[in-house]
Amino acid sequence: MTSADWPDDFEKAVRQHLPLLADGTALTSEASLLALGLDSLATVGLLVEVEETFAVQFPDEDLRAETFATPATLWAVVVRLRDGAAT
Amino acid sequence: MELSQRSAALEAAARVRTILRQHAGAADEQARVCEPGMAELRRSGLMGLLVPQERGGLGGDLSDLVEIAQVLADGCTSTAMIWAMHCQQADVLIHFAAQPLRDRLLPRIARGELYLASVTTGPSTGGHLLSSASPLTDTEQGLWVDREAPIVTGGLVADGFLITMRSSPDAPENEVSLVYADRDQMDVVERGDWDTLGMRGTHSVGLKLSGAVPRSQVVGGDGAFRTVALESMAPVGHLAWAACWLGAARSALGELVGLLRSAERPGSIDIRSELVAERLARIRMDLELVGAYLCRVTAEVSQLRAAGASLAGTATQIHLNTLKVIAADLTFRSVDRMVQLAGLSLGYRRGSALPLERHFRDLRSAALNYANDRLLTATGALTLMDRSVNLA
Ligand SMILES: Cc1cc2nc3c(=O)[nH]c(=O)nc-3n(C[C@H](O)[C@H](O)[C@H](O)COP(=O)(O)OP(=O)(O)OC[C@H]3O[C@@H](n4cnc5c(N)ncnc54)[C@H](O)[C@@H]3O)c2cc1C
Repeated sequence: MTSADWPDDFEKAVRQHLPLLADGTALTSEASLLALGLDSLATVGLLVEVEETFAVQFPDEDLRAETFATPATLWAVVVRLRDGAAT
Repeated sequence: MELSQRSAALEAAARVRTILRQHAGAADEQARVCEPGMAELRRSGLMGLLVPQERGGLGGDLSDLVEIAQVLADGCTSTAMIWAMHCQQADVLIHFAAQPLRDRLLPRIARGELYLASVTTGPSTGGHLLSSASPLTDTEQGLWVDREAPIVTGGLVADGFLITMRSSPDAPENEVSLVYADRDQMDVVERGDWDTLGMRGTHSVGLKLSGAVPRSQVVGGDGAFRTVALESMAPVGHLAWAACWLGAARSALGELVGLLRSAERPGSIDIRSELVAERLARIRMDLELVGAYLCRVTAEVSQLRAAGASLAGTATQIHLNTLKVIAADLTFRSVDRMVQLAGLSLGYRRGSALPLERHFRDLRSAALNYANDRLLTATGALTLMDRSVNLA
């Protein structure tokens, strides 16, 4: 997956919570969010923002480290929840 | 450990405690490591409590660790903490050092020849465990370590150091590697003294360490300190520290009760009064809660480890943080109340028959020794991630 696969809103939300990602640098789908500075408080901030932006609610099963591992893993969960909610 | 070995270890701890009791006051006064206590600890085999028996250690587990830490803290909180932090470092090597390094170090630890000090705090990153400013640099002699270490418990008597370093000059601050360095491999310069309110006998001096270590002395892999911290250093630290603080507070309460039951009891304290009873009850209840929670979290961590499972799960992290924070808060509150109950002459004056003022000063450090504030922030964030509220 490339960054083109997710909307700008998502990109913006994620970037905002990564203190160690320099402004001009691309956010790759496999980047480690942890390594880019996503600590536990930032995770909460990102969660809230993504839930509001995409009108989804993460169930407990998805509140795991694996979900917040990379932009790709997080986006995959958002897509599943959004599509699930639509049907 | 078998039952007979466990009781032998407890007997050894009791012998060390006797020596620590004799010297705790002097270690506090001089702000120096209690040398007779350290010598006895090294002789006793307890430095190798967690080292497997096939490497010459006692093969103890985490419940042995928390039990013995309490016995030692009954003698001298500072020395107990030195030992507890050493065991914490030993646990890291046992679980994360590569085989050749383990083969080399564990037998030395078991023989009491290798007291391991810890260098995680940095001058600019403060107590933030998962970041380090000083980078490791690759040189022809190996990895070059150049590290300001503002607080190193027992630093002057340490035989080896586990040091957090940024993994390379280009790596971000949160890409941290843990390296082992023998004292012989380092140029050690004393930087700052240790003149503190309490925990004076830990002699946690400032050091500047520099020297080269072979790449094989990186523990847990390049940049992998986070895993080491989550699976070993932090959990074992929280268990062992909580046990030391609880041991100190128990010791204080034991001595206070002993005095209240004796003829030396000050006439002003009426132990038949409801006020005294209520105060004693509140003190006792704080220690009951810490004791029970320590026991519970020790069991949780032991079970997860036995099953080969990670300790990084949300609920387990909350439990481990909670243990550290409540142990720090409640043990300090309990000695504060003991001071109030005992009154000025017995509770507040130096040189009183009860070392309550020393316990008070020592336990004040608990909330700072890895800042409670940092852990509360993390626990609050994690709480939002655990809607099912999985309690310990
Ligand atoms: C007896 C003793 C022995 C020690 N031995 C060693 C040792 O051997 N090796 C070693 O490396 N270190 C050692 N330390 C240091 C210890 O691990 C901590 O790093 C240190 O106590 C933290 O110091 P600090 O309060 O200045 O820094 P920080 O933890 O950086 O805190 C600075 C201030 O910021 C606040 N703060 C920080 N984060 C947050 C947050 N998220 N939310 C709200 N407030 C926050 C804190 O409450 C504090 O007021 C020892 C400490 C003690 C007391």
